[in-house]
Amino acid sequence: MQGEAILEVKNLHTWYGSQHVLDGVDFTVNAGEIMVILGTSGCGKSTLLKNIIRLYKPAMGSIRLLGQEMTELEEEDLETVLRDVGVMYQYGALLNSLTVGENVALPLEMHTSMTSELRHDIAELKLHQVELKNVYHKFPKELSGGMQKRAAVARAIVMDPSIIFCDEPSAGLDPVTALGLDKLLKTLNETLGMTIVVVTHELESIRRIAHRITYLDRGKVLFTGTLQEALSAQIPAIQEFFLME
Amino acid sequence: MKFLPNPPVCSFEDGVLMLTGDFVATTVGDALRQISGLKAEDIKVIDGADVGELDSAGAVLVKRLGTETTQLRAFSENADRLISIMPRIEAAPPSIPEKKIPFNLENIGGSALRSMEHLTEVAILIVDILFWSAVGIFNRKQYRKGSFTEQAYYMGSTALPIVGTILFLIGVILALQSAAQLRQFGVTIFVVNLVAIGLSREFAPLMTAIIVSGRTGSAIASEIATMKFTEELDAIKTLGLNPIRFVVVPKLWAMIICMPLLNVFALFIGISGGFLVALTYMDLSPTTFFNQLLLSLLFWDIVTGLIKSLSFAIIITIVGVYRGLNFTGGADGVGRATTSSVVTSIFAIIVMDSIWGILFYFKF
Repeated sequence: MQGEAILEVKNLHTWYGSQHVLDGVDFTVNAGEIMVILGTSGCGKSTLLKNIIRLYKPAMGSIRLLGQEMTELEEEDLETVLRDVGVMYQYGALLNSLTVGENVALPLEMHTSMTSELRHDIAELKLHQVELKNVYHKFPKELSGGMQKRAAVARAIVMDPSIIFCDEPSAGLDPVTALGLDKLLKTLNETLGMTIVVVTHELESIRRIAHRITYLDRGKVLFTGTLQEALSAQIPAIQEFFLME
Repeated sequence: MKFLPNPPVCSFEDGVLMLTGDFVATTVGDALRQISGLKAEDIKVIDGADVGELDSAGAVLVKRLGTETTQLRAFSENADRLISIMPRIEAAPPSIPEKKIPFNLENIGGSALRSMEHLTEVAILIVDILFWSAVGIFNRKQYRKGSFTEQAYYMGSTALPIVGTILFLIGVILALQSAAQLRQFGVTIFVVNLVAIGLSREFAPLMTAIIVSGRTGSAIASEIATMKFTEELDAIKTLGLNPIRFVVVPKLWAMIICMPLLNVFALFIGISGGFLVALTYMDLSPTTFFNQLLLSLLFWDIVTGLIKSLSFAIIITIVGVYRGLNFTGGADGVGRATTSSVVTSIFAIIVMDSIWGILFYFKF
């Protein structure tokens, strides 16, 4: 199921002002796996995600995503790489001026020359995949938080990207909706073979979806491996994290 | 907490401080006053046998009264537990306010550096926006179909009623004020010249720009600030799109097209306000009014207004975008971005208007 490395992060350093947020982060994500990046609040998870997708350029280190060195890419090349990457933001980040359907179809409209009918059908299909029906013509503000996140997943997968990144997918959702979203990510991974990187600190979610985890602590990687390996690794910070329930 | 707590009583004898009554948020002040003269080192034991109710404030008080070695005696189990979880807070030394020197070199240098940073950011943004706007004329990649029309409708069509009403009233006021003065010299006919030239060269472009900056400039700033807050701009980037091309350029195009059109509309509505005054107050016939209008209003006067409104359009858009992109904080930050965009736009518009005024006065 899991193939070669699709994302390799090496010796990554990031500063916010004088604060050393990421301090020599190293980890690898293999094609076809679900990698969960976890850690307590403020440990640098979201910064790491922003570095990988180049929303924030790291000060030092290497990020090799889909065979491209992200830290050195020019804007135009970066845009090309990002078309093969899906990102789901914590609160969905759907464009409020567009309908849900237009949001999902936006990457197709901008990056392909397909007809509007075809775009519509593909967007509907993706919305169907994330179990959203009759929302194409609704605006994001008319949907609940969980539905917005589902729509954001639909937008992230509309170009059938090789890898998708999810920032806190189940944060702020009720347990049932969170479970549904986790199932959706698992289904996408199993049926479409998508590599998924999830940033979260929701324990239930980690247990349900993670093939491997990377545990961050104060900007450093404490552990990378399976959940079972993590629990038996006798690392106090990780044990405390999982026993906090 | 009790609605009417029992007043606290503190008595001190032979190193033992006896507490009686309720020690809660509303009564600890009284208790403190009673023991204000006591030194912490003198208190060997604090006896809580007669303490009724004790809340967090009371627990903090007890914790602060003695020293590390002071013994707590006969407090109830709950009170003991509450006191035990209270951290010992040592009285902080009085803070010495930092002396502010108004003209300190460090402050002046800091402000100068920040101003330079702002100017550089603005310059980069202007170049970015103008570059992508120019590129967009030849290459429509990354522009959503219909986004320009959508923006133009909002910025132009929906602004017509407010621009029309204000400029009509300005036309009326301008005619009335000039008529009152010119009547003394028996040359009320020149009211038409004043209204026509005043509106075309000054009032129509300036008032339209001020209305549009309050209405559309603020909307641009708040929209972009909200998009930044809700990570929509990040989402646009990670969809492989350029936020300036996708979000800002259609707005600038729409503004560049709509502002001159609004200016022409404002001019004619303003003149019609002056026409109404001429007919009703100055007893001028419509033919006299229009003949004088054609004599006084030159094509160049209208072009002057159009050039001004074009520059104002660019100012309003760039200021709105800059303030939106520089937003920090939450919902209050969006409000601040909106307000500062209006204030900065109006300031910049008036400065620009003065520059144009001087240039046109001496050159044309």
